[in-house]
Amino acid sequence: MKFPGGFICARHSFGALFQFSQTLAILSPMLENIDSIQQEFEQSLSSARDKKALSEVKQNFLGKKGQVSALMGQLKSLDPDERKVIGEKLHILRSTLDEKLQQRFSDIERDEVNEKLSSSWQDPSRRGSLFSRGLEDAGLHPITQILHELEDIFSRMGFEVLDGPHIEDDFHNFTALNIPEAHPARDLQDTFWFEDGKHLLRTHTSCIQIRGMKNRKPPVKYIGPGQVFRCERTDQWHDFSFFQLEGLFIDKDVSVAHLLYFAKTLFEEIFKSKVEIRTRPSYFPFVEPGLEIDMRRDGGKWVEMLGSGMIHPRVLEHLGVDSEVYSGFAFGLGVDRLLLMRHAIEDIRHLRSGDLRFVKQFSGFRAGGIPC
Amino acid sequence: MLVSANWIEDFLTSPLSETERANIGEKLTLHVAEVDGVKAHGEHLKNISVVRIEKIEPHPNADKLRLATVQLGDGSTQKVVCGAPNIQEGMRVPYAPLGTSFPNGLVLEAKKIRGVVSEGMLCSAAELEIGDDHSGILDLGQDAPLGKAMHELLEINPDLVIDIDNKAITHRPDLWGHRGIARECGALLTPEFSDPYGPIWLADIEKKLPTNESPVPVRVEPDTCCIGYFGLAVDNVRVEPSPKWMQDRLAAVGLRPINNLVDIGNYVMLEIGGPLHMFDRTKIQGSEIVIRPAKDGESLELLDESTVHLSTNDTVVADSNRALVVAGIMGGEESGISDTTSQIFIEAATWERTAIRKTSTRLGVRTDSSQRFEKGLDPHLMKTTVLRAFELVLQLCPGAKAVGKLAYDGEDLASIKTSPITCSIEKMNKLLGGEFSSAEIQKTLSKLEFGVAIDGDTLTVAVPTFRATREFEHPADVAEEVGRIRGYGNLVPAPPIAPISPIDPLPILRLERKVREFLPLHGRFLEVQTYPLVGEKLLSQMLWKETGSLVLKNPLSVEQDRMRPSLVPSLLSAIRENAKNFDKFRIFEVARSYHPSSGEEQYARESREVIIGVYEADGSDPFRPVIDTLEPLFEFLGAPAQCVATSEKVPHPLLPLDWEGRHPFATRTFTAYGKCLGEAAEIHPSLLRSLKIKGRLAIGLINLDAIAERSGSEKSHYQPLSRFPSSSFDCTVVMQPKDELESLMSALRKFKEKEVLDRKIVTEFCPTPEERYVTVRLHFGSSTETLSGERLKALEDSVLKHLDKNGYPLKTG
Repeated sequence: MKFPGGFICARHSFGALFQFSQTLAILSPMLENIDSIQQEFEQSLSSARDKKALSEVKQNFLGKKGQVSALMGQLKSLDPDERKVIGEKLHILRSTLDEKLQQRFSDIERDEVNEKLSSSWQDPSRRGSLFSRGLEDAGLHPITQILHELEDIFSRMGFEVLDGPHIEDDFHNFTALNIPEAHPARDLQDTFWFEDGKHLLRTHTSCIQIRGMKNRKPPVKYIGPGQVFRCERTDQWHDFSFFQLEGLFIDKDVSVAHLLYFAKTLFEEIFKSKVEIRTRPSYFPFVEPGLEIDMRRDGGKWVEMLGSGMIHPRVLEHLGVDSEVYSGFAFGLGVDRLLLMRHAIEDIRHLRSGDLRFVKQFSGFRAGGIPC
Repeated sequence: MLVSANWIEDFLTSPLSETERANIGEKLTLHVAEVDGVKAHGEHLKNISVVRIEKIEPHPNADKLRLATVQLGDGSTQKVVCGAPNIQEGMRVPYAPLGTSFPNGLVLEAKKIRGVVSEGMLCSAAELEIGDDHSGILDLGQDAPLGKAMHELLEINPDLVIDIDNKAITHRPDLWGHRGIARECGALLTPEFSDPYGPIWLADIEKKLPTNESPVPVRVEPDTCCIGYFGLAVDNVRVEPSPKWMQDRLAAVGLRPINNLVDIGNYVMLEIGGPLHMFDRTKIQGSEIVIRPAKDGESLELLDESTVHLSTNDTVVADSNRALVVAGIMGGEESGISDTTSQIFIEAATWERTAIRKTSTRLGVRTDSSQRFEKGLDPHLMKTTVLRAFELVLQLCPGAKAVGKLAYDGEDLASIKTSPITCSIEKMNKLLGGEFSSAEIQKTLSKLEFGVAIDGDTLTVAVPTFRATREFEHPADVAEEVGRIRGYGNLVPAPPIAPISPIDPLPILRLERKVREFLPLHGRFLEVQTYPLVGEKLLSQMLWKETGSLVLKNPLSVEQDRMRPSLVPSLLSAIRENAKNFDKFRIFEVARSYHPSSGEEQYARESREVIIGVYEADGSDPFRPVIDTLEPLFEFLGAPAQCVATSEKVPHPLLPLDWEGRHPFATRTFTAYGKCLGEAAEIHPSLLRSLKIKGRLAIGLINLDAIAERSGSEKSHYQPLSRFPSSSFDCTVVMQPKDELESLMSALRKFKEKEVLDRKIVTEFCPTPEERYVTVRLHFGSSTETLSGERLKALEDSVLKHLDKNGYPLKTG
């Protein structure tokens, strides 16, 4: 057993001393003296309130002319047996008193420091966040947060992250993606065109696919996240500008079955939970077959997640890939939509309003699954 | 598009089973096209039957309610609570027993109404969903047989109405009618598809036509969008309401019945997907129908009574004098069917889809007809369309008869053929990632009416004309049919095997990440996004002279009609709005500015930049926080930028030198590699005043492209630790109040003794506005020896002398 300090030990020694003095009380009046000295010491010690009083106590008992020294002086007059017993007792008495004094001294010293500290008290609850000092939130835009999260997931799966210009030409945005002349996407209603009539604001991130392949050879896997533009009236759920994430994987013998496996893995990474997927046939000019992939968790509602498909042979040719040898899947994900779903945001236009009242609610760096 | 399950059954060998009806929405979604919803039509009427009210008693607890005892068909009675004022003893009314589910989702349950349990419900016309009247219980009259189910009494065939998402079938012109949907059902469900309008039918019906020339010959002029045009003249028709079965079918899929001829047109379109038009033949002037380009400025009043103005890009169907129809879109009011029409001319044509889309978009007129033509209809469909319409006219107007044979002009239909696709079954299986046997492939494709020949691994597929108008030419197209009919969900997901390859992140994306790490954590900045599109008004408000020459041809508004030439105006605008809500904030955006490119090859240059803003409503200094953020940020980005005075010497500034929004003094430029990497500037108080922003504001800009170009070129140089002590020397010098600390530092930097390890300013002290003292500290040391007292003294003297010479004398006294 370990004692917390000298005090308990000292009391223990006193105990032994009391026991002993009881048996020898009659034998020597000196033992009575020891008794009375220690009682007197206890009283003086408890009444000493500062360092000065304490050093007087020390002087009185342990000083050269102190009571213990006086008793020590009388040892010579005792017979050897008694001297041995009493001498030992006196020795214990002296070290015990010394120990007690030191303990008391450090107690008094701490009390004095604490006294001083209390006079210079500082409110420990005071902190910046309690004060009105303007807007102190710091952090990233929610779109940035979700993009980082998605990019990291893809990077971990070995996908490169690519990027491309917002201002595109007809070839990269349409022709190379097998979007024919008559496709509605080419209408003025959907595409922002520049005055030259040849350049436009990219309507999807699929053009990144085309540019990405220029200095690459299969096998490749990369994603292109980014901002896209549609010439459409805005409302609560539609903005003329939003973020997409497009990706592709080209190699020999890549199949729809691979796409399904990939999609499920991707969703489980995003939502950090088991998901079920289902597919619906769909039409995108740049894939064949084309399919939409929906997912749900715990038997809940199906949520539309991914437009996808096997890259159209004609697009592969535009990418400079031999469609006889290679195949690949491509997919696109609506980043804004995922974000609105995650936070139940009621109006997409908040995202690019520059309004700090909106952005500050996402301050800090949050992680975790997307509830839906 | 709404589709009726009953109508689909016209094209199936047997009716759909209950289970198939229940699952048809999901089946179509998973294998064909997304279904937005499935609604039972009239199903509830099977449960509701005719009863007679035997007795009416007051409700014990409510004045407005009464208790009606009704007698059912089987003689039993029930007591129902009823609030309608019109009920009377002896009345025959519709009664819904407990458990009936209504189309609105309501399921009748036994529950107390003001203390009395109602054993069912008496219904109004509105509750039956057969009318709008909800004022009282529907009085069925004394002839209604007791116990008769309502669907029988009202002759309503319970149906299932399937709402197919139009966007999901834009690539499938063949699915814009019941026949096409039925064909898919035949491939997915137990009943087989059976086409009543096949070649035998065609031949039969054609036999009913006279062989003499049509009274209205048809002529297609060049430069029109017409692929082919059929016309048929029919006499002795009578315009009257169409029969109930036709009206019911049209109503079920959301079309209002009008009269027999108009209804036939709609019916045929919904049935087989081919739009048609009917003229009152007496209104056709001259001797022929001409399909010709519209004349510039030619106008036509349409059936919906609107007037359109046409151009030579549009095609019209005209008589000898005037345009009668905007091709593929809508007919004219004047030549259309009226109540007195007895001679008609039925048109069924095919038009080039692009042209129809362009005209329809330009005129702002979209119709069921244009919607179908835009998808690219099968040219072979028009003959079936005109003959099916003729058949229905004969059926509905028994006295009607064709006058002359079918008139036709246009491409030679026999020459429109599709080329077969040859594919390898093995490759198809590899693309799908499944094991599709040749038997399964053959069965699936045949059911979809593809011609199939299999020879070993080689599959040869003949594409039916109704699928060929939309680029059905690759083995992948065939694979899609095979894959979707089985269902991709029935494939076993398999992990792709990919080679390991290292990934080199794009320098610019890495830099953007680092900026986004640094600013919130080290500067407590909050990121925003603003639109890359701006307007001239915003630019001029922000005193921005470069007006942005990348202007959109079709902007949504003048406020957002051009690409931003700088991030500054939009951020200032965001700050102005936020200053209404917050007294102090730090804001940043990582985005692009857009510039017309000088080179021939490139149309535009996109510059990747960072902009930061520090706003202090109370007038505290915002400029220093900007500088103190940018300097370490450059270091973090690995770009050791020099903070120098802003001047015309620095090329390609991010803030134009003559920008009047810039504070005259509180501004600084960061340079490296001879380029402008960044700028910091307080905003001029006059600009703030005009923007009604109180307090002070400063911004900073970084050109990320310039840093990305040099990315990775900086390396740190390690110096072995010196074993010898260094010593420091402080001295206080006199400085002019308006002199820059930077000049003092640059003077110190010019003191180039090799023992100088470091030099910094320690404190600055201004006892009066005229007096300024600055204490500087230098560290001296050597890696090879401990500097002697004499050497240190010499160094100190020489520093003081150097400073004195540069205009910084030692402070005396």
